Amino acid sequence: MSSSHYSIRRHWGWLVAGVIILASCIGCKDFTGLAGSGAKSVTVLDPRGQPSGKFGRRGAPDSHMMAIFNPETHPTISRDELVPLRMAPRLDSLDNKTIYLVDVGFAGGKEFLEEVQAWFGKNMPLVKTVLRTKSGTPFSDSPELWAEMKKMANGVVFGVGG
Amino acid sequence: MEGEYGVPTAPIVTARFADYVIRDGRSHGMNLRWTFPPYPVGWVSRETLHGYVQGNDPVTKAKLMTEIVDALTKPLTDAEKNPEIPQKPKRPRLLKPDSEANLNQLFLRNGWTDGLPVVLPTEERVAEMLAGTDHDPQEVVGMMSVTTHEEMKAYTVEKVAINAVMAGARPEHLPVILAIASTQHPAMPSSTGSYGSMVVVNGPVSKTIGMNSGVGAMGPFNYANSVIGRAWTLMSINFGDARAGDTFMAAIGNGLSFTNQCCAENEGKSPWKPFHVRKGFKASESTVSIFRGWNVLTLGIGTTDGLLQRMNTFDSMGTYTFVVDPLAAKTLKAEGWGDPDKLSRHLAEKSKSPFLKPEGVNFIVVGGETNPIVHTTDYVYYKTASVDEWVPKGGIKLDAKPLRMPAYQECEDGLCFTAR
Repeated sequence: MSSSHYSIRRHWGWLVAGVIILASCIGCKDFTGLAGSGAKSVTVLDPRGQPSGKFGRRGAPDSHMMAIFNPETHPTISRDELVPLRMAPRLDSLDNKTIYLVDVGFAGGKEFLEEVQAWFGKNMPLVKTVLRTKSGTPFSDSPELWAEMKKMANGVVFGVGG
Repeated sequence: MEGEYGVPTAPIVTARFADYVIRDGRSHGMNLRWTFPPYPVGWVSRETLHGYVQGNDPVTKAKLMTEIVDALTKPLTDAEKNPEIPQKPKRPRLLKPDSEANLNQLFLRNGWTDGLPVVLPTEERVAEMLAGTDHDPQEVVGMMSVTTHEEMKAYTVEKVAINAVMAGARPEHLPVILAIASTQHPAMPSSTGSYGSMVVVNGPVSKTIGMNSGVGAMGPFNYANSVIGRAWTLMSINFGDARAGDTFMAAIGNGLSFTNQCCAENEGKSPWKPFHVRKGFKASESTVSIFRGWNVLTLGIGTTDGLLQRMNTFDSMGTYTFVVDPLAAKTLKAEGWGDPDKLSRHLAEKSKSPFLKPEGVNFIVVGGETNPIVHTTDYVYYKTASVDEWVPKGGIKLDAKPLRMPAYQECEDGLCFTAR
């Protein structure tokens, strides 16, 4: 038996298998298509909404919790009306400055700020800290406190959200 | 403080919400100098809080107190001096063509689905869905966001049809889905407390499209109930931009959100006027009514004292919606409550809740009279919207052979199914 004949016989099984697989691929285009690159191309529509230029805005102070999530009572503001926040100039140093520590009302916030106050007392004793708990809920307005801070505070630490 | 009063401010939010507040601030043109202590801050020991303050910000790895001091003293950067409000690009109508397998993966990977298989919204399928209404496909239906403050996404009739296709709906369901979309209420607003939502359909449309209002109405036994409820969820994801851990912050989430609680009111068995009639619509009109809350107590028997007892032991923000089986409704009527609005007033007066008003107590009649069961929920009723205005002039667009799952049958002797 020649070596070439032996080689053909040796690889015959692989040749037959290859032909079967090729035929299967042609006959089962959809199946192979689901698996990879030979698939039929499909065009679909984008399911996502478009940017509206409208942003949600905080509801009326002390509004009912449910009203916060009601689009009909929840005011919106358009992008054109949004004003980027101008940040206040920073302080050169906190020495001899009055820093308000404002607990906004979430659980643990007051105790956390007491620790912050203790840290200032120990590490930056020249800083005067004033700890306040905001009235109402974490979401409500406190114009009296804001007015006090505008007059008295050189800086404010707000916390703790979340 | 920063903008109006010129007082430098150092806001503190727990690290769990760092991404949320940074992204939200930037989208509004606010480059705030955040400090992020570890989470949680509430209900932990004083020693733990002491450790937080002495330690590092887990997000920036900087010393926490150094960060607070720097927030008040470090000079402003150019970006902080010149804040901008970024503008999101308009999205294309069509996605890049690809194989069905790849597109299914794309929808999953982008978070455009509820994790279950969807029907891909091809042009052909969406066009077929749009036969379910006469409205212009490009008519804007509304806008929504699952957050209270992020930019809302606007959506057209076509966008609603796309999500209806994805949910597995047919054109006959589109008017109801459009009515839900018209309320602009996402089914899953971002609350750490995991909202559940409910949509109740009233009027003739519920029978036309084969909705279930009887046995198992809120379970997975009815095609229309399931796909309509699911479409609301998909719209909340794709229009409300619900992304878990990003815009959607529910601590645990809510299994009800897959299809919400979606059913028709059992007007035929109810001893009371239909819900939508009590809200000012005609009985001949078809509507959707939207409810939402946190808590559902599924076991209870319908008597006046029973309702009051559950109200007084139930943790509610001041609203209650009772979903009552017709047998329970008949029991309540026999106790003298022929008008559920009078019962609402009575319960509001007798309740221990100082916030409760009569309009905060609502009743929906659903169920198949296998037990006088009442579901007690803290759901607030938000709105009833017209389905009819979305129905084509020729009426609901039914398929030649509308698909229906096995229908609930009334069997006084309980032998319907064994007789099949």
